[in-house]
Amino acid sequence: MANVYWIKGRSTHIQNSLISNIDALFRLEELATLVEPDVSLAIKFNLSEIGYGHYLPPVILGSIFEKARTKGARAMLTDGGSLFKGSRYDGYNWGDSAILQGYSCAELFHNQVMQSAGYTNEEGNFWPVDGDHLAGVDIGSLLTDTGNMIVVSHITAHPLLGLAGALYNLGLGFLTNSGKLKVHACLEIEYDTGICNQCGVCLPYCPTGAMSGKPGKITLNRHTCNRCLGCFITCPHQAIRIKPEGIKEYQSCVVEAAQTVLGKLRGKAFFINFIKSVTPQTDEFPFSDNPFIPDLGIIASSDPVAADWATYQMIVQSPGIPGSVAQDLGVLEKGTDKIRAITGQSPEDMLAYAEQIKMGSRRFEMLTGTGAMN
Amino acid sequence: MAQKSSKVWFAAAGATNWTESTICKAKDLFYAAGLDKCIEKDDSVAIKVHCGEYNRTACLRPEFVAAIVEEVKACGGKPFVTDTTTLTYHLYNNRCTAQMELEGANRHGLNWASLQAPFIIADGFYGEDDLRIELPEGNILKETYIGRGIYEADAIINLAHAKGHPITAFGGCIKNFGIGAQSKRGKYQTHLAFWGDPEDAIGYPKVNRTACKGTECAYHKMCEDSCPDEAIKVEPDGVVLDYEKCALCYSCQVTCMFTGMEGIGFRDDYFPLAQIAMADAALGCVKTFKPGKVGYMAYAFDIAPECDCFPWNGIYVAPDVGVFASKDAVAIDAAICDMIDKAPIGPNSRAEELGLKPGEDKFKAINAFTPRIQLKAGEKNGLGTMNYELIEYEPELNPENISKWQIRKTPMTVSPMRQVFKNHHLAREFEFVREPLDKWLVDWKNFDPTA
Repeated sequence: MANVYWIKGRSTHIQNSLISNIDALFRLEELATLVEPDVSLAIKFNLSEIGYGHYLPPVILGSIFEKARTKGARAMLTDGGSLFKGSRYDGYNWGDSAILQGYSCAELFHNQVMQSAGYTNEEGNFWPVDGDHLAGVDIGSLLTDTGNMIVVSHITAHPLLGLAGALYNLGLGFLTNSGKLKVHACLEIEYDTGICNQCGVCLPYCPTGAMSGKPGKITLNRHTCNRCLGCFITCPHQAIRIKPEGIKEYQSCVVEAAQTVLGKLRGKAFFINFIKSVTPQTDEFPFSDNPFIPDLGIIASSDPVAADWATYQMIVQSPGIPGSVAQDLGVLEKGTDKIRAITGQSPEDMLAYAEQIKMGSRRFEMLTGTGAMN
Repeated sequence: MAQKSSKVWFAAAGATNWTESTICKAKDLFYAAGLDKCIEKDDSVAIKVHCGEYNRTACLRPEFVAAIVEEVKACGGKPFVTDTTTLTYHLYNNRCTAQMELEGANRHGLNWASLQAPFIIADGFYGEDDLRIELPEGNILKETYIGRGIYEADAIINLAHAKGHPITAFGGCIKNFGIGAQSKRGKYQTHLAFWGDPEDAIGYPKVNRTACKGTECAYHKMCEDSCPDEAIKVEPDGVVLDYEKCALCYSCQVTCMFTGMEGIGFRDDYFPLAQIAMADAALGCVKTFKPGKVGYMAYAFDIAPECDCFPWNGIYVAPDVGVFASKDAVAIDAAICDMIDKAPIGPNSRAEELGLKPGEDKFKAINAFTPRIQLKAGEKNGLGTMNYELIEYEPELNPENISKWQIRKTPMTVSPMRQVFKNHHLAREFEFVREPLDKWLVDWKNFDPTA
C-alpha cells in the first residue's frame, strides 16, 4: 500500500512557505530516489493554453527543476502539444505559449523545456496496449528514452474525466497527435444548430476544417471531424456537446494510455498534485473561471491512483468558494461532490479501472506534514 | 555551349561604416539573393545551423543567426533554429541526445532569449525521429533519413559556418545538409556504416597495429570508455575490437584522433567517399522541400581548420572572408572554397605551418583531400553546379542605407535624446572642477614612452 503525502495548503510562517514545501517533497524517500545524479529526469507539467488565467505560477516548476538540478539529475521540463488548433498546436506557438507563461527557456530552464513529442507533435513510436479498449497508442520519444519522471499536475475539473489529475496528465500529455486521436476516437460531437448563434469563434480552432464556413453559414462535417474537442472547448454558447455514450470508453482509454506510458518509462515515477487554483476548466481551455474550492495544498505519492483518489476525496470534503460555480450549483457545503456537479462526471470509475489493471490502489496510508517536517 | 551557372552573392568582410557591418551585409544578401522568395506567410521556416560542440568558440555567433531570424519574420515566416543530434563520435560528446545538445546550445547563446525564436533539435530526443527519402540520383547513397523537424518544415534557410573538417576537408552548406540535417540513421548511412565488412573496412575502425600502444597508451582507458557498445578491449599489444558489436559510430576513431594518437583511424580512401556520400545526403534533405523553398547563406568568418564539431578550435587559416548567399548549394560552396583559397594565410595557423601561399588549396593541404570532391559529387547528383557567377556586393553609403538595419529608424539623437536634454543635460547642469591646461600642453610628452 503506497503512502500518500499531504502537505497542507495554509502557509503561516517561513518554514511552510510554498518553496519550503517543495523542498520538503525532495526529502520524501520515494522522490529522493528518483533524483539520481546523471540520470535523466522528465518533469511533466501542464502547459496552459493562452487565455487560461489560473495556471500554476512558474516558480513551482522552476523550484522543482532547480532542486533536481542541484542534486545532479539531468532534469528537463516537458508537455505535449494540443490536438486542437490553439496556442499549443504547432511547435512555434507552443514555445511562445511557454515563454509567455514564464517558462523562460534560457534563463531558468537551460534550454531544457521541450515538447514530449517533438516540434511536430509526431516524434514518437506506436506501442501495443495491454487492455480491452485500446489496441495501441503512439507515445512521444521523450518519454520512452527517459530515466525517471516526476508528474507535476495542476488539479482542476475536467469535462469528460471529472478530475484532471495525475492520470490525465500521464495518459494524454505524452502522446503524439496520432496517439491522442486514437484515445479520442470513441468520442462524438453533437452540434446543436438551434443553439449555435453563428459567432464563428470555433472556426479557427478546427484542425481539419470539419467545422467550417463563416458566421451565418457554419457547418460540421462528421466525416472529417477528428474529435479534437477544439470547438467544444471554445464555443461560448454550449452549442457543442460530447455524446455521453463515448465518455466511459474515453475514460478507459485514458487509463490504458496512462498505463502504457508508465510501462514504457525506463525508471520510476512520482506524482505531485497541486490542489491550487482549482478551476472548473482544465489548463487546455483558453479561459478559466474562478477557482471553486480553496487551495488545499500538495498531494504526493508514487501511486497515481492513490494520489488522484485522495485528491478527489479532499475536493468533495472541502467547502466550495462563494461566488464561484460551486455556489451557482449549490455545492458550497463540505461533503458535496463539486466535481460531479460541475462536470456531470466523477473519476470513480476511471480510478476503479486503473486499480483493476494494477496501476495502483485507492487504499493508501495518508501522511500529513508541512515544509517544516523532516 | 555555355554552361549553366548559378549566382552567388558575396559581401567581403571588413567594415568602415554603418552599412558595412556583417549583420547589415548578411541582411542585404538575404534579399539580394532572393531568399525572401522562399518564404510565404505563416510558413514554418527552419534555419539550419551547426550549433557547435561544447567548449568550441569558433561557431556562429548568436547574432549572426538572430539577424536572419529577424528577416524570416519580416517575410511573414515562423522561424525556428535547429540542428540534429550526433553519432557518439567521442567520449565527451555533448550533442548525442537532444537534452545534452540543447544545454550546450544554450551555453553558445542559441536559445530563445538570444535568437527570439525557438531552438529545437530536429531529430527527436535520441536522434531517431526521421523520415526516409529515396535517392535514385545518388552517386553512392540510394536513400537517406532526414530529421523530422526539418522534413516537416515548409521552407529552410541553410545557414552555414565555413570551416575545415578532418574527414570532409571542408564544411559549408553541403555539409550543413549532408550531415547536419540527417537523423542518426541518416548519419550512419552517410558515414558509410556497414559498407563492406571488417576486412574491406570502409567505415569500420581501422586499427593501426604498429602505432597502437596498447595498455602503454596514456589514453587506453578513454579508448575503452569511448565505445557505447562496449566492443573495445585494450590489450598490452594493442586494441582489440569486437566487430560483431561494432556499430560504426566513430567514437574510438575520433577519440584516438582527438588525443593525437594514431592507433585507430580511417582507411585512406574513406575520405573522398565520405565527401561523395555527403553530397548525396545533402540532396536528400533538399528533396524534402518543394522547389524554391530552400535558400543558402554562409558566414566565412572564424575559418578554423577543423569543424565546429571539435570541442576546441585551431587558429584560423585565413582572415575573415565574408558573407555568401545563393539558391545553389554547390555553387555557394564552390565560391566559398575559391575565396578562402585566394585569401591570405592566417598567421600562426596550420596553413602557415605547411608553407601555403594564397591561391593554393588550403583545405587539401590541411585535411589531405580537396573539398572539391563534394562539389563534383553534388554536381553529378543534380544538387547544383560548380559553375558560379560571383556577384560582389558592396553596400552604398547613403542616409537611407545607413538607417535601414538600425534598431530604430529615427536617430536617437533626434528622439528621445533631444527631449531628455531639454529636461537635463549633464554637461551643463553643474560646474565641473577644472585644472588649468597650460602646462599640460608640454607635459603630456612625459607620458609617451616612445618620444
